[in-house]
Amino acid sequence: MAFDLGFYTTLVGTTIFLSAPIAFAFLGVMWGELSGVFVFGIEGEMLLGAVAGFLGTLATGNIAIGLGMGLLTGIAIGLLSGFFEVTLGADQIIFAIGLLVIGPSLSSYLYGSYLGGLGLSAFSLSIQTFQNVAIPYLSNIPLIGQFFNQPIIVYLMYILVVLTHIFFYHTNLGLKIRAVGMNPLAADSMAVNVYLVRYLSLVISAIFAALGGMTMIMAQTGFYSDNVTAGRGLIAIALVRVGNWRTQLTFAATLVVGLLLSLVADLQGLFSGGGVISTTFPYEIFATLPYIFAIAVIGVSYKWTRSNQPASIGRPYKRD
Amino acid sequence: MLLGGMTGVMATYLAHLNNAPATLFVGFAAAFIVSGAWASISGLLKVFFGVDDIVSTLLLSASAAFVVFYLVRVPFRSPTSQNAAVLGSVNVPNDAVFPSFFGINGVFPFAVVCAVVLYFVLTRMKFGFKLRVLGNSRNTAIAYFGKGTVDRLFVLVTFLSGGFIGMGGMAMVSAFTFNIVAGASGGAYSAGGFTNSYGFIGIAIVFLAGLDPLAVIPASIFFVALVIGGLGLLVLMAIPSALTITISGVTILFVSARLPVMQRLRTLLRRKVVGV
Repeated sequence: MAFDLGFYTTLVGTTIFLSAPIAFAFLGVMWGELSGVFVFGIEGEMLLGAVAGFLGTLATGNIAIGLGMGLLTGIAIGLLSGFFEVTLGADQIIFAIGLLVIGPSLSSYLYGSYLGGLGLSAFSLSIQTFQNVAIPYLSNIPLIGQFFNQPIIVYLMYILVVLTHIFFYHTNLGLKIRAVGMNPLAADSMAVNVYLVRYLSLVISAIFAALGGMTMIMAQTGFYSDNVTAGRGLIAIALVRVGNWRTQLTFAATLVVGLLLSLVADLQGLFSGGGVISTTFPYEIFATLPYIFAIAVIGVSYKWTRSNQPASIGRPYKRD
Repeated sequence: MLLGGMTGVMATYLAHLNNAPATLFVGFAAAFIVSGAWASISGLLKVFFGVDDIVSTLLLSASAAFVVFYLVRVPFRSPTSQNAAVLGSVNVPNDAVFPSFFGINGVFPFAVVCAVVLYFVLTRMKFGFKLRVLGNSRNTAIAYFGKGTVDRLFVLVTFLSGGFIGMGGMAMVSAFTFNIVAGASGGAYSAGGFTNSYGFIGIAIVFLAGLDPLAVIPASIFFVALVIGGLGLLVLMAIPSALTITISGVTILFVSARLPVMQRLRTLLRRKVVGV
């Protein structure tokens, strides 16, 4: 490993690349939680979106149709969680646990039964991933240029992060959604339809989660394996707390975690390949780094800053 | 749960006791202490930094999976397990296998005894009363017992709960699986992994039981019957066992809406009776 410009360029590229699914997931978490609903089940939503997108692409051979399938799955999950968490007023933590149980098992079942129908073994199927698209001129800047030499879904991520930030913190409608998250009773008395807002937010949140899951496959691995998201959803939940429900801070934290993840990949390759130290070296330590980072920053930020947590989070709203 | 099972395997494997009750005791105690200590990190974080305990426990359990994976990969790997994707740990010694009574494995009566003891602690003792006040309202608890007591309670409770969860992992090891299987992807959340999402299902069971330790027993039998029935389906009709976990997940979804739906039904019935 040589620490020259080429190394850093690759590092920056990998960082952006790895933080894209987490960025989608944190957008999903923010959409749900700013309207006052816990989205702890995002890991399951991501997995279901991922498997739907993958199988759709595999069956039709068209990545756009696969993307559409994943988005439809997201909409379905969003409507389902809306029905349970808004209409019925279910316990949101338990609902999220249900999603966390369903996500890995159902996606594994769907994938397994599809493979079984074809009579194939695992790891033999892969789909064509999105190709890198270099934006002229911008991608020629050293180091920073890597931001503009990414698959097209990453550009979509940039746009959506910026749009979400503008929407939540600079428009009237976003203010209404945040008001629903802070105090649904007050929002209701100001003629905001709390149920509609929460339904919409949950649907959009699940769409983002599905996009995040599909990004893992369509831009990164190209094939599906069980538990492909590998805790990205959990990290996203923590990152929203790290960023104190602010889009720009959360995005910065996402980039830090992406950097950690790409360093982890480098270090694991270095240590597990028998390169520097023998295979008994505990390289799993590196994989826990993002979690430790998240816990540490949450600890410090809760102590020293005013929490921006939506006040009504976790409590279903019911008109009496 | 994964961590507790792993600790149980390690402790019983390292202890080399020839005495069956002593081995079992060492295994369960080690599982209790280690996973309790791991879980009490979240209690400490809550006390000292005010970190949301849901978030910190999610993160801690995810990172525990990596620790267990390391332990399975290097020091305690079974000599016969060479497949890099799914590694198995060494088996527990025969002494650490729970004996069966009348065809029922001894873990089940043990868990029932634990539940009954917990019931008495929570409903008949001062400690349980303090806990229930704390659960209802943190501010009330601080006003009654003082902040120091409440903080100590938080840490103690996270320790105890983590300890019981670790004993669940040890029970899995000593009664059913006899070793730990860790996948390359971390293991804790993958379907068909060691814990089979039992940790998550456990939370739903507690909710279904309405936080009553005695009601937990039938509730958990209900969920396990789902899983066992799924295994039967796997044998009879070649339905993958992942689907049975999905079915438990769907059940959890419906359980989550239990309280408001019951309330709505009750109001509907009352209206019919009164004739409004």
